[in-house]
Amino acid sequence: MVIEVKNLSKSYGRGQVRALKDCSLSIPKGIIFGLLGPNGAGKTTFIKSILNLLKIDGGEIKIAGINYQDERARLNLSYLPEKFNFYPYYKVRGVLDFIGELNQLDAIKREQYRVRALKKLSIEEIEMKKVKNISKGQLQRVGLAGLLMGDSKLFILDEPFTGLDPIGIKDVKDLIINLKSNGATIFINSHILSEIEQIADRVAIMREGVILAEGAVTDLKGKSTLEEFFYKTIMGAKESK
Amino acid sequence: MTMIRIMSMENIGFHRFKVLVINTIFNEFRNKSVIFFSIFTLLVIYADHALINFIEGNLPGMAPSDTLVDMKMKAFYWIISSWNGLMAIILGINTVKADLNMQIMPQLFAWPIKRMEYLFARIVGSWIVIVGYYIISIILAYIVFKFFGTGASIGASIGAAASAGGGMLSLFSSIIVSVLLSSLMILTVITIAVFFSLYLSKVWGLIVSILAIGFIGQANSYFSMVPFSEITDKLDGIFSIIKLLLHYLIPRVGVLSNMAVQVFMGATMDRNIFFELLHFVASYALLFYFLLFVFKRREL
Repeated sequence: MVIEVKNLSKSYGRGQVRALKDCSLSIPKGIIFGLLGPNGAGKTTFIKSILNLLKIDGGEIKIAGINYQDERARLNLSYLPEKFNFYPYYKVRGVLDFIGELNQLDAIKREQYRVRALKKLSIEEIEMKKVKNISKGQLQRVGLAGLLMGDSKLFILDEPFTGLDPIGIKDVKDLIINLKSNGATIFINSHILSEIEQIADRVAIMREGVILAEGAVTDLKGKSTLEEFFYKTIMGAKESK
Repeated sequence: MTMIRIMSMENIGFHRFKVLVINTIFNEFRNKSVIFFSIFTLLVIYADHALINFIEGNLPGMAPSDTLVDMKMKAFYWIISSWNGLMAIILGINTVKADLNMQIMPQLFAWPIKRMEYLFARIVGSWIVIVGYYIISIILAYIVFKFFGTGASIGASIGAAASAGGGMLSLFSSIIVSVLLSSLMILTVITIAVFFSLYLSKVWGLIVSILAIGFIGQANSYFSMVPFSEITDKLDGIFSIIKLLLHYLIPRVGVLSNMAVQVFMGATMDRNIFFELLHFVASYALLFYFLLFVFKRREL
């Protein structure tokens, strides 16, 4: 398993708000996994816990078999937050080079990877523009291009479709499929069900910090759509509450 | 195999540390305060130089030439030293706070970067910017004073002062020692400002850091000349106890700053430099460990 989470719990405000309640997930290598849920379900908290950005209340997290608190667990990992941001006076080229440097790429490889990333995300024309002079959608594309500035095997993407136009969404889907075809594992947080349905192999549905369902997309949705299954699961959980 | 893996992790850690230090320098180099102080320093050098030329040209015999030169150098050194403290606070407040405010920190920590590496890289990067400014200012001032107008006598004066106070110390070695001592003060001030930036807004962080550094400086001057055996005689209230704790547990910014000026001016040092350096190493390690402890507990 690339990611293994057992009984993960996390609360905010001295236990007053329980964001995650005994969540368990196992994500095998080489698949696209979608974590779905309405706003406030705990999806971002789940990702931040995996990345050791938050102090968890309890549970066990392993990335590539290594405890999540060990820095080596994140050696082959790339992360894209919901709103990618960078220092405003950096040029797009500088942003990608910075990411490449952190990913241990030498100068020649950085150049090669940068050219490839800019082309894949169709942002060659903003390469020499400063971050402060590009739009939010373009900035998000720069963040996505940053994912290609290395040889990561695990990609964690928090709402990667946010702020993108339809062409941008298609580019991202193509990018994700391409990463998978190269053997990478992709973990996506999203509430845009239609896009996830098209690309994900497995999904989990989360509401109020609880994982309500998890499995292969084809098994879960059956003959209906993922949207219908999602709606039934969320509404069912609301009613039983 | 395990050994190779550990060594490779250390290399990666150092590489990322270096990338972060360069990134910090790149960020802080653009800091408006650094630009402002750099321009202002040029103006001070010019004003200082013009003033001494005017006095020497129009009021001959008012004071011996060497005295005027010493006064001028002391004034210049005192001004840029006090700015360095202020610059250290401004950069210290900004360096980590900017990553927090712009939400860049979670992105950075998705890489295998240890919080200690990040914190130290940000502090060291800011330190390099200020010490770089400091060294360039002194060199520039020296060049202007030495090669334009009344320079020759100034060079001679500093050299005489240095040799009078420091024995074997040459002019340049006294400058190097002075800058080194100041740089330790700068490192401490940046670290303290980073600590306050974790909890306070930029403005409040700036105000509280200035007050805290001022209070530590006062504590240093209060206790630095008191023999260890007479310390209890000085304890006459809660404030004096706090000052005592600060004097012994926190690096002595006031003492380091005074020593830097004394070395530069060639005056006799009133402190034991080796003891003070030893105290700095121990107390800075304690301060950094405390900062790291609170930073590690912070959620991103």
